[in-house]
Amino acid sequence: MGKDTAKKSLIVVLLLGYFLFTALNLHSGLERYILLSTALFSIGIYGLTSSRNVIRILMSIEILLNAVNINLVAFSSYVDPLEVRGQVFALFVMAIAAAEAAIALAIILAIYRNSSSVDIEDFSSLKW
Amino acid sequence: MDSAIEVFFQDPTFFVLSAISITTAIGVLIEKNLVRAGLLLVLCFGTIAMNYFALRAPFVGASQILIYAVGITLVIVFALMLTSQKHDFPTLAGDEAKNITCAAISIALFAVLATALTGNKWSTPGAELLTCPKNTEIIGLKLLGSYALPFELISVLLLVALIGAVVIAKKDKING
Repeated sequence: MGKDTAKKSLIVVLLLGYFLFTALNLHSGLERYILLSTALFSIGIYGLTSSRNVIRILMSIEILLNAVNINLVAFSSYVDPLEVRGQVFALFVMAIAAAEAAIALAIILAIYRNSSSVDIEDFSSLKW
Repeated sequence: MDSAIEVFFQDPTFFVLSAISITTAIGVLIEKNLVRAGLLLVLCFGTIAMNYFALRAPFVGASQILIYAVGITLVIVFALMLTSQKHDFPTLAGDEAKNITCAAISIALFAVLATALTGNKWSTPGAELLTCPKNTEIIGLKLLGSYALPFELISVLLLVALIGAVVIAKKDKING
């Protein structure tokens, strides 16, 4: 247990160090926010591809959508503060994300009731 | 050329908030206990909302707290509680090789995008954070002005999605 925790902390510290090192070499605020968005996007992609639990995949998708939102709001604030197109887009993304979470919960529940599992490997009833 | 410490003190809020949000986002993926992962997700969305406030987008920040940090996380925690597991579920992919491949792909993605970001001169006037005092007012006018049609479509979509969710989650089995 202790070894596992140490390994996880090491991974977190290494990745965070990589991010901060890159961010400290950027000199404009907009670029830093895009870098934060990139980092969260990569984390989300990792969770999406490697998780087996559907609920964790759902969490990864929310992280991905948030990464995109940071990008939109950063560009909106730095480039286009009077028309705020990016912020309006971010609000639309949030609304879609809410709808998507509700639908995903319903689908997960329906499949769980049938197969008593939340493992993505068991969600293959649509295959031939 | 500024040193790293000077860059840090140009924008300390950003560095602290982004460090917290990245740590919690990684924590969401590597935490074994899913309920704890859900709580970390709340923290992650909260720090992202703080970032929106720092970007002077208060309306988006408030919506982020209301919709993501409370609403969507609540839905996910409901999903967790309704599908409670009897056996301990493996955190990530069972075999180590697949796990490492996924990690390598996402780190490579980050490295490529970061190189593209640092290696280029951006032509946008993105050096200064521009302020607009009437942010919320402008968003309201835009939502019911130029974006009135998508706004109405979103409301219909939300209604359809919620009714669809109720229909799908109703208590009858797919296979009889």
